[in-house]
Amino acid sequence: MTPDGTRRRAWRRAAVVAAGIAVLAAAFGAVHDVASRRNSAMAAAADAAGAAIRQARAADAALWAPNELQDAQRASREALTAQRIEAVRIWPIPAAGPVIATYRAAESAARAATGIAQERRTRASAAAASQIEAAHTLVSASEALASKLRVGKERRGLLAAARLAVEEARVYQRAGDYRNATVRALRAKELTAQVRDHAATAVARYADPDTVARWRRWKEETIAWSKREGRAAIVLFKEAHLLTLYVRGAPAGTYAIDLGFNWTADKLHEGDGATPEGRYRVVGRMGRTTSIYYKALLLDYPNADDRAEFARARRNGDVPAAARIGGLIEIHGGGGRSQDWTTGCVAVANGDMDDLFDRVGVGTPVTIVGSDDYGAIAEFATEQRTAAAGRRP
Amino acid sequence: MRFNVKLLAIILGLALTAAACGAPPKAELDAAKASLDAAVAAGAGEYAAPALTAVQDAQAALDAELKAQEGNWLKSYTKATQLAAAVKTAGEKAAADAAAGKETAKNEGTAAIADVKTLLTEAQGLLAKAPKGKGSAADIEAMKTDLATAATAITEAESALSSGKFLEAKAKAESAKTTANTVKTAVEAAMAAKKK
Repeated sequence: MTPDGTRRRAWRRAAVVAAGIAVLAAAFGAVHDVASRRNSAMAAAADAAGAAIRQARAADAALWAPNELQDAQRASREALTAQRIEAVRIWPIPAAGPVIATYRAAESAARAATGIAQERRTRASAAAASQIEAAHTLVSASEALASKLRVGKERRGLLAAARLAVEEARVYQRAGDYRNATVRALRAKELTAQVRDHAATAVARYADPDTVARWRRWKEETIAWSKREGRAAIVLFKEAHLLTLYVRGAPAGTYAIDLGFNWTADKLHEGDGATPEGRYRVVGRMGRTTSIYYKALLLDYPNADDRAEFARARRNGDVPAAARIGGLIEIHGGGGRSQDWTTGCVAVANGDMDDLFDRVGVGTPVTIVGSDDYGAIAEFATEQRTAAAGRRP
Repeated sequence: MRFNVKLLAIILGLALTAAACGAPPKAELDAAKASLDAAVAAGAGEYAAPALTAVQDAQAALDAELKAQEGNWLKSYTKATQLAAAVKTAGEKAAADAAAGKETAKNEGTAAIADVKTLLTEAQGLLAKAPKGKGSAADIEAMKTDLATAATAITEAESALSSGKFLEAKAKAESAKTTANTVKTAVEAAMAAKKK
């Protein structure tokens, strides 16, 4: 071979090598470019899925949409695993499609979890707020009722516990624990229902048509007697806490009265705190020197009906074995306190007692009724009976 | 012969290197798992939820790396070792945050109970000196019952506190505080009205 031929071959060889290197470089660049774009796409999908999952967590999806959040997290983990598998493979170009699809599924599931969590949380918050408000209203109304009906220490304790339950519910509500807030509000309502059911049972007579009809008849007969005899007669209305003096059948004075601490009940035995219901007469008058309550008009309690009722109650075991029927029921002074404090007597303010003492003598009929109409107590008793029936399974 | 020995040495070296990189870092993985378990046991789920989530995310990244290396012909667990260390660190932080969170919740419950006990004593003292007049006896009895119920709630709060139910303890203490405050305010108002 001539020197020129050798040089030409050398140049051709060099050109081939250079071309080969160029092709390899171009191929490497192309592969790197594709791999880089795919890796970036996978990273972007991972970031989007991660951001959506963080948003779902911030929306408390772990509490309000746990299954949906777990689906999103599971898909994200699957995508991450697939992404790492692609990263460690010898083949430089990753199969990004399935990885990105799985990340997008995770992102979609996370967004769904966020939406579901927000909706459920809003509903739970509203439900808790509604239950707390209802419980608060019911407890407040029942506290007013308890004051009026004098429900007794045990029931008062239940109401106090109900009030505490409402306040506990508010603490849980502020902490975002709507489940416990609702549980406590429902407990408050349950305790209050116990008090109201008991109170309704105690005053059921006020809504009983036969009882109200009897009371009306007693009142009308007393007024008719006053008109017929031309004399004074007294009718006491326990629910209204009023005493009306009738003279010749016409109202001649109305006086506010304090009753026994268990006033809604009809007196059954000594110490029960109830003011009796029935038809009585004044059998004695005590002036300032003989009455410890300013002045007093003694009634003939117990009458025959009271004795019969006491005997029945003793037979049925409705009164303690050692209980006595009691007596010494009076209309006396020392009242005007706007509370029911006596052990069964009827108390009026001293000034009113002076007025009555002047106009009422021995033999004056005194009729004591619960009410002559269906008043607020009757309404409460009826409503509570309906509510209790609704709660029974 | 020398060529064969050299080649053999190179192949053996490569094999040893591959073997060294090819085994999962058991000690680091065990430490990572123990750290996660400790965080859960410390109550991180309740008192350090974000920190626990960070541990779980770190564990997920570690699991993904281990799974990826399983199918790899030329295994390398260098990244897995780093990720395991990250799980351990995150777990330790979550456990520490849980302990701090628990302590804070416990202190809040303790403070709420101490606060309401003081207020209850104050309210009881005031009620004993409440003006007794027209219509007051029944109200005073009712308030005594309310304070007695508040005292029961405080006892329940102390029981919840010692059982580690700190939010429950705080709820009962704060509800008792509202009741005691209501009674105190009512008696103070009655006393002020009487002075006029």
